[in-house]
Amino acid sequence: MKIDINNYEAYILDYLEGTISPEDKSLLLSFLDSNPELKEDLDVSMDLVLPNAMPVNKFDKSSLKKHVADEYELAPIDYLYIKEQEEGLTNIEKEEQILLEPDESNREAERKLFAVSFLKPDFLIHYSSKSKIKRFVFINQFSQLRIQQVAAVIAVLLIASAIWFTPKQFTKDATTVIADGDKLTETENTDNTLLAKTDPTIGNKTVIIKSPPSKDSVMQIAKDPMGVNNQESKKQGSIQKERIETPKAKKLIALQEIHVGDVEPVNGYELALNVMMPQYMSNNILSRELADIYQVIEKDDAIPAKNLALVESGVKVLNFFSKDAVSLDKYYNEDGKLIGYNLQGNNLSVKRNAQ
Amino acid sequence: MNVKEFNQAVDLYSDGVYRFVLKNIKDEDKAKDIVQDTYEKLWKKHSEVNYEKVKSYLFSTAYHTLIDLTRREKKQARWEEVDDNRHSFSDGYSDLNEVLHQAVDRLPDIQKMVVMLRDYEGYSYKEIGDLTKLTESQVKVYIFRARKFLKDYIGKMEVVV
Repeated sequence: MKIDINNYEAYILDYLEGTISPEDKSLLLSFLDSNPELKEDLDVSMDLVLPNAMPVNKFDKSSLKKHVADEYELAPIDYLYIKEQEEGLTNIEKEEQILLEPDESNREAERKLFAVSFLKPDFLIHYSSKSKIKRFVFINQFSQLRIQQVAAVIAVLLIASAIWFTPKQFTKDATTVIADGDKLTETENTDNTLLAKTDPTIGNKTVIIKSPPSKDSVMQIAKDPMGVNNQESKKQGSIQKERIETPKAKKLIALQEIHVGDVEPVNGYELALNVMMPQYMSNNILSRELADIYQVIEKDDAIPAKNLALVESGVKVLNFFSKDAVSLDKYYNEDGKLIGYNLQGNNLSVKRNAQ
Repeated sequence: MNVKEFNQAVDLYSDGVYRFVLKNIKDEDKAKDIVQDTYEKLWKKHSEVNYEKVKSYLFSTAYHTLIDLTRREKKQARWEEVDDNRHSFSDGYSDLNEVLHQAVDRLPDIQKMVVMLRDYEGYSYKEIGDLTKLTESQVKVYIFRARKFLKDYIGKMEVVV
């Protein structure tokens, strides 16, 4: 490159630093000779020679250096033992190891200890549930996921068809017989009308079982078991238009009319409930109401034997449900005739003359 | 990976995964659950996982499940003020192998796992690093420190016994 007024200073710097090439040096000197004013402007002499650097004491660089073992926070000898087991040592590392631990027996003992620290897999341990996690191959075209989806759809269809084809069933299981004295209730069999499993009948008529009776209706039954008043009230205009007049229920059997060995249908269930329901519900009704019921029973002297039959049926029913919580004691005279009975329950005590 | 390869992976690696997990948590039921869970995760991604890398995938999944589990259990243990007697040598030992496993149990969890992966499965530092998402250098450091601890533990025990 040609030296000119624009770049000659760079060559002068190289010259002063001693890095200029011989060719450039001769070019620079000839340039300065041809331009002596530039030579005079220089602050430094071209003959300037930098003094030699002052000699310094030798610095111990090794004190700054780190051993590779420092990265592991281990002593170099330990690092070498471990590396020997893990990866093997280079020749330099072997020499270093000997330098650090000259005693061969010590080195051997340490090697043994490190060798022991290596774990060995326990091949006696097996995973016993492999079959649970394996997948099966059904059809190559179908992936496992697709099969699961198909199975889910089939399951949904099966459930839907089961619901569709299942016959409708009555879900109400409250079994109640409404027997308004000697009147029977007869309505069309709708979804809301339930027939008792036993289809209780009196005569040829089926007793229709409707929704559970209210407390008032039970009270009414207790007060007027024969339904005399009820009949009159119906004549005045009954709300239940579907009720129709039916023949009177068969006369309840008096004790004298019972003949051993004769079989005659008696609706004991109905009879028992009519009389004993007050006791059965005694925990749920007012004591005053209960007293009225008892009063009605006590006043009903017209057919005592019939009442006794009612009571006996009721006791059987109650004991069936309450595990013999009610007792019935009968009293006879010298002639062997029944003269009275005593009904004893948890909340009820009734003494009556039979004659 | 297809179904056949998945089932091969069950045959080939389930024992190893189970051993690895069991040695870490010492609970057979939990270990079986983790193995099953690991393979369930594999199954969900089996179409994406290359069969040649399935072993790594399994051990990596099991490892991270273990990490999560031990973290949760440690959180619970804080409330119970557990004294683990980390450097106590008062227990009775019958043989060297038992001593070694006692020592392994006293290692920090991360050191224990990488040593097991190294010794049980023969993984390289790099492979362990890939599994555990640690650098190769970190793996090496953990392993070297674990070796030193195990050697010291065994050495002291030999003196005691």
